[in-house]
Amino acid sequence: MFDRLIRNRSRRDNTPRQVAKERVQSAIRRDRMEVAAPELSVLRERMLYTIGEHLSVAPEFTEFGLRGEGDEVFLVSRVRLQNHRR
Amino acid sequence: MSGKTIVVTSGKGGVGKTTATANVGAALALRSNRVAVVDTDIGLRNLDVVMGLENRIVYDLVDVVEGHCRIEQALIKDKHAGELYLIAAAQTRDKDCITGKQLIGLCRRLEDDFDYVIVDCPAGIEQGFKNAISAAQEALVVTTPEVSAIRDADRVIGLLYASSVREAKLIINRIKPEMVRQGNMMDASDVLETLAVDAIGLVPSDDRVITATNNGTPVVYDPTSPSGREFVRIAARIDGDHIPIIAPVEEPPTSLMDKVRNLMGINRRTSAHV
Repeated sequence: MFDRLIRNRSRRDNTPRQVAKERVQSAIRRDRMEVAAPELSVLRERMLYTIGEHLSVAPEFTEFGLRGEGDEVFLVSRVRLQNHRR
Repeated sequence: MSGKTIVVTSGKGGVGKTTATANVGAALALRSNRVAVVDTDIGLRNLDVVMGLENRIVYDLVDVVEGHCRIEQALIKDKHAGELYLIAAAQTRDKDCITGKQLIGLCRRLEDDFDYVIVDCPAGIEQGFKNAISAAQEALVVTTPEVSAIRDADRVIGLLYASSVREAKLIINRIKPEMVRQGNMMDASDVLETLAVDAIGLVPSDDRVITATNNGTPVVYDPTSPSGREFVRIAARIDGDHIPIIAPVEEPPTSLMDKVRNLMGINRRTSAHV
């Protein structure tokens, strides 16, 4: 009985409940990034078009995508400008 | 009268969508609403069986949208609640035999005569799902506290937000408080933290649902059923009552042996009350 009580106490930090929660949240993060992928190419074109109205951009050097960091998903964009020197 | 259409959906099959439809529909009718429940799971109908109306079907949903009968002829009156009606799905056709536009037309006409039109959606996210959600202003997403059901619910919620549905609420079904306490099952807060939607009901796991389904009587008619009582509260919340949402708790141990089992973590009782 005491063995069982001690076992119950020691496994609290890594319970099936906690494992399930972490697994489902991880799966959903990945799903959301995959689902968003078809939308991204449209969004990329729209962003480049809008930026292009103000600045001269080099679309072939553009990086654009989703990146997961911990629990968060970031839209990461890196646009190279033409004819701009530091 | 101008009612509203609520779709009951889940993504994953087998989480209690049809049971939720029957019980929410019955509980709304018990509150003196006129309610029509529509089974859109064409080819795999079950709402008629859960409601105990399987022997009364003459015309079905496909007959209505194809013009073989009037809506009134396909509406089957429930045996228990006064103003509860069912339109059954066709059993021998496939899901592509009706269109979203046809279902929207049907629901708009039903909204003229009913306070609530509850649409039981097929599992999955294919055409049958798209048809069912196209007609609804609101959605109830049913899930259980399991990884696969929650993952599918998240996908469905994303699709609902991209549709014409204005509001989606979550029903977490088959919660086992004892397993939650033992650290073996996610609780409501874990699920709600994961999904971007508010809950409208937390339904405990309850063997009486099986008995009620076997009898063809929705469990809301059993006042001793914890899940039945929660479905009554869900209906009240849909109807505008402000009732706090409380996580199910375990039944208190009644005997010394139960208390000893609880202490040792080997209590096998699974029912709970709210």
